[in-house]
Amino acid sequence: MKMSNILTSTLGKAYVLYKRDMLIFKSNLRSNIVRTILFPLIILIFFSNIGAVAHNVPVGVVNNANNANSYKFMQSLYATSSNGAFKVITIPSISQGMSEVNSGQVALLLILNPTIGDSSSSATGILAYYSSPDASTVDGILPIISGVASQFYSGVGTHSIVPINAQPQAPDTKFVPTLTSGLSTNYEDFLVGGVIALVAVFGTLFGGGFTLITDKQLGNLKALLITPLNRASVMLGKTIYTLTLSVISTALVIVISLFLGVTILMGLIGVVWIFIIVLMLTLGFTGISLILATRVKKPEIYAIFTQTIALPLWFLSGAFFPAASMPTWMRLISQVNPMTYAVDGIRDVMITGSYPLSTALPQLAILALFAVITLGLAIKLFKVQIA
Amino acid sequence: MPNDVIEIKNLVRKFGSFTAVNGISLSIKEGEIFGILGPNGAGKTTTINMLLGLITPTDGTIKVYGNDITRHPQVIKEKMGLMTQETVVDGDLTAEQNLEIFAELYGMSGIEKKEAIDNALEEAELSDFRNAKAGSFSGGMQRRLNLVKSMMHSPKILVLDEPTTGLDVQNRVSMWGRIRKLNKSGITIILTTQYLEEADSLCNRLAVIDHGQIKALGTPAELKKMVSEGNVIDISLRFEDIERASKVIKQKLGIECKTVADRISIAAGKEDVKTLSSIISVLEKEKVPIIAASMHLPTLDDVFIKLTGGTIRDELGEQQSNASKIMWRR
Repeated sequence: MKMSNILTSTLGKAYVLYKRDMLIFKSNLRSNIVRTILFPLIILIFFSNIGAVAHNVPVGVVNNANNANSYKFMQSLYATSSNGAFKVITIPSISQGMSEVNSGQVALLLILNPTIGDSSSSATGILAYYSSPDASTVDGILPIISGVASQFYSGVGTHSIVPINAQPQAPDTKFVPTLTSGLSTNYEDFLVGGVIALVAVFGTLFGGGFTLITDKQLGNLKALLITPLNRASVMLGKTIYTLTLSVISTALVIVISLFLGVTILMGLIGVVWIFIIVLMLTLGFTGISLILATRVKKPEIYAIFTQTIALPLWFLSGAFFPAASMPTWMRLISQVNPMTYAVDGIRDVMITGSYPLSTALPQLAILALFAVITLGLAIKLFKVQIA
Repeated sequence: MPNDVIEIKNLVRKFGSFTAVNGISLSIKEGEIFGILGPNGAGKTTTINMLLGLITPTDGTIKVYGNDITRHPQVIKEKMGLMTQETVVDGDLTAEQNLEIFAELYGMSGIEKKEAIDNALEEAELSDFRNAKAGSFSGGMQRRLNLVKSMMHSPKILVLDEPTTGLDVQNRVSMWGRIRKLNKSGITIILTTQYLEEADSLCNRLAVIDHGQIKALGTPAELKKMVSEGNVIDISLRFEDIERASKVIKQKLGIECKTVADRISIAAGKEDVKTLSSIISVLEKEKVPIIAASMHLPTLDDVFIKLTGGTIRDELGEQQSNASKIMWRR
């Protein structure tokens, strides 16, 4: 009975604190919305037009055709690669090509079949292979190569690169077939997943933790703490407030993205997945923001800390450029970076169009672990320090 | 005889190697206005924070209505209210919303909440501004809102941390009126202040705190008596003459002087008029030019000079408090 009383009272007080933060948010609604919209809008408009993602991505080509069309295609591919997006490496045999994809020496393997450029044949002209860790790199350059193929062989038909079944020598788990939908992938689509994660994280860092600091600085916290509420209700109220902000900002980014022509392949279910992923990510970063809020006294210092934490994590999440193009030590960081898993998940939902539970559960589990650790630490560290 | 509502014994609070409060003991009686007076960094706010259970004492005990607050923290939440030093209202919220949040935190709802808010707004003379954002209010209005906000749960003891700092004279006097009115309705009031005239006019009893210790405790009249039975003599001189003048007075008349900036201050006792004239004639004989000479009944300012060796807001005090602030951060 007493336990349940404490629980009801904690929830009730947390709700009052949440209401207070939301009322403050609402009273500056316009500037808050503008702030939330502006950032993703700028990033999407500016960066989505850059086109090339990474530089000198190694693309292996096995020329099984050895006919005039295949040579023309190779020439055109070389010419296109001079812009620095990728570099072409010719490989003598399919088996060597496969092993190079496996070891990461080439990010993408193109196999040119004799039917290349033959408009009368219905067989596949070009086969594309890539291993899953490089998926995000390939997402960036595949459209370019696809463009070369379709442009140069305008008479051949649009499906120069088509999905194929994994061949016997390719281990199933390591290889994913390129999807038809992958053809439409451009940098904007690639970027949106990362922008959603970033906006959610930035919204988080300027959510509960930030208001906790300003409350502390202005003396509001002191006035609140002498009322009958406990520490848990403060933490809970701030967390719910932060989650609300991240839902609002995610919804705004999705609307903007759709307006800019980005598609979410999984449709409405995809949107639900995106919200689930974002909420899990936000929980973890709420923990980080509250930890900082318990340690830092001034909003300025807090802002510096949060940006120092958030921006590198964002860059290392593969949100902006693919993890495959990073040096090894950065790749290692990106593998322990919770944001990586959120960005991967969102991108799977939006670009790949499939987010099976076998992928979703481990990713969400990692995000949940991150949230439990940071929130637990935040509650442990939150003491009333008024000095 | 009224009961003690608050009993503080040997209260100590250390921040690292810095001792902010160093063995304070005092008791506060039901229905009085008790003032805690001291320069910046003297330990007033730290004492108040401990009294409100916001920081734990390093040593010592605090009892509120006979309950040890470390064992019964809920007694603070029920019985005590706080108006903080800063003007703490949520500027982005309306007056009504500000009060609503606190009413709800104190567990009110429905009609009870509505009535409490209406009464509070009326009390603060803000009924016409209930839907205006508190951020648009003047300093006096914000302070009034803050005062009624801290009274939402009708506490028996109200702690006012520098209630008039930063207010203009009109608002200050009006705030004094409000404090007196609350006190008349039976609320025990504890206030900290830097303004001596405020302590003098409002408080039944005072504790002067400096360097974390109680330097004096008593009614304003008792404290003034500590300085002098009669008048205090102030003689203003050129700065370069001060040292020589006080030496001369000591040698010729055997009177100890306190020097404060550009004047010397003498607690003259009963023979005040005679003392004044002999000081003037001695100084004239020694050719020390006198800028002004005056005599007045002791003020709390004089108490302060006697106890802490400086006026409450002189430069040395500022420097000391800055130094202690730096130490606090560590």
